Amino acid sequence: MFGYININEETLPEEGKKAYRAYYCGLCRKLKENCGTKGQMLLAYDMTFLIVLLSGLYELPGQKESFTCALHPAKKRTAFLNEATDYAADMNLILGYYHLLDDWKDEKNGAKKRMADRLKADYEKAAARRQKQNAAIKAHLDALSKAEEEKAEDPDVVSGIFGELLAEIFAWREDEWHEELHCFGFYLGKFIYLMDAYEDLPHDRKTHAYNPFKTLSREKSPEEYETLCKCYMTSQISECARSFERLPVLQHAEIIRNILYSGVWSKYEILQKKKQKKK
Amino acid sequence: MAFFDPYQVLGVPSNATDDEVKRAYRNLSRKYHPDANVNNPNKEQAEERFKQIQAAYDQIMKMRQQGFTGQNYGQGNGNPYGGYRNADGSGGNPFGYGGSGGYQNQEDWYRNMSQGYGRPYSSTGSWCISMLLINLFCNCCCRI
Repeated sequence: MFGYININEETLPEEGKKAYRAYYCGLCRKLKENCGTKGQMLLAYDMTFLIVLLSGLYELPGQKESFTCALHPAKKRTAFLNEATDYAADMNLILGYYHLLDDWKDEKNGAKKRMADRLKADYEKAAARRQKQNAAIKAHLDALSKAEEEKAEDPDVVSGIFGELLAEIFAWREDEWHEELHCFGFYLGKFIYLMDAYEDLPHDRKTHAYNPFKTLSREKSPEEYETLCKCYMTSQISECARSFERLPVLQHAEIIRNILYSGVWSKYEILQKKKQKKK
Repeated sequence: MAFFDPYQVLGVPSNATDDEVKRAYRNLSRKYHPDANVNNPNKEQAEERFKQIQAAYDQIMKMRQQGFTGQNYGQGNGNPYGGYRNADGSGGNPFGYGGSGGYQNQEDWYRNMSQGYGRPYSSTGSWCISMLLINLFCNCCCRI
């Protein structure tokens, strides 16, 4: 479900790209520190975005590390690490762990189950550090499973559950920005869920899996369906962007705007191109 | 009703850009935030000031998104909502419909804000494919 929160490299200046990659590398290194190499397999762009946002909002002091990456040994890499990296790494691990368990439950994927078992001890440590978020993630994932099992037809309702989940993750601290970050995370979560549903619809139709857009795609013409999906998703990301513009973020604002106004549509653009080719 | 000019609280003119408002907020919050005044004997005053700064910032940003630019501050009878309220401060919708520079719906607003970014991968999409492969490689090849 994650993977939609990316930068648009074509329009982001070099300085922004370097900073984004440094935060990404920082998250990777923190996952390795916390869980070993197996933890790095869970690395997600979405959690990198969380670090960039929180770093920009709180202007967190941090450290810059130069290191040699095993995958890119030719040139030394730069990693930025700060308190948000610690937090995002825990969230990355917790979400990744539940995702593995979910795949085991749905697909009986043995490899995922074995991976989850290997991560369990690290997950439990992260869950102990982030009890509130872990409890909220578990509760919302359970609610989401229930809604999907009951085949909830309203995309707004079911995406709202995922929105609430992400809202709990983004609202890092109990401070003056808690409410705004909660709002931001909520709409971002809704967008991610709907984009995932939009992308997965053809596959879900074949496998008879749940998809909140199934009813809409049946009842509307293809053109109406496309327009409505686009409207749904635009509506969510625009609220997310409005929430961001209310935050006093100056540092890394260009990276965040690049993602919110352009990068989040990357996968959608690719899907549209594929549909055009088929025609 | 006590007159509250959020621009005056932040020390910026009403035509300050959003970034200028944000910068002013950041500079003041560094000074008055409770976390920065833990050992300050006047920390209660600092906290009170911080609350005003926070309220001022919140008000400006929310009103600007509703299309209210705050041009009326300092004019007429000190009514911070300009023509949208009665003289006794009652009634009225301070935010009207879009106001000056406001948008009738959020999709138009988002579309306008996105204009500087164009559409991603409008040419070949080849960057996306290579980045996805790199991410897949980074995530899968680090097995013990």
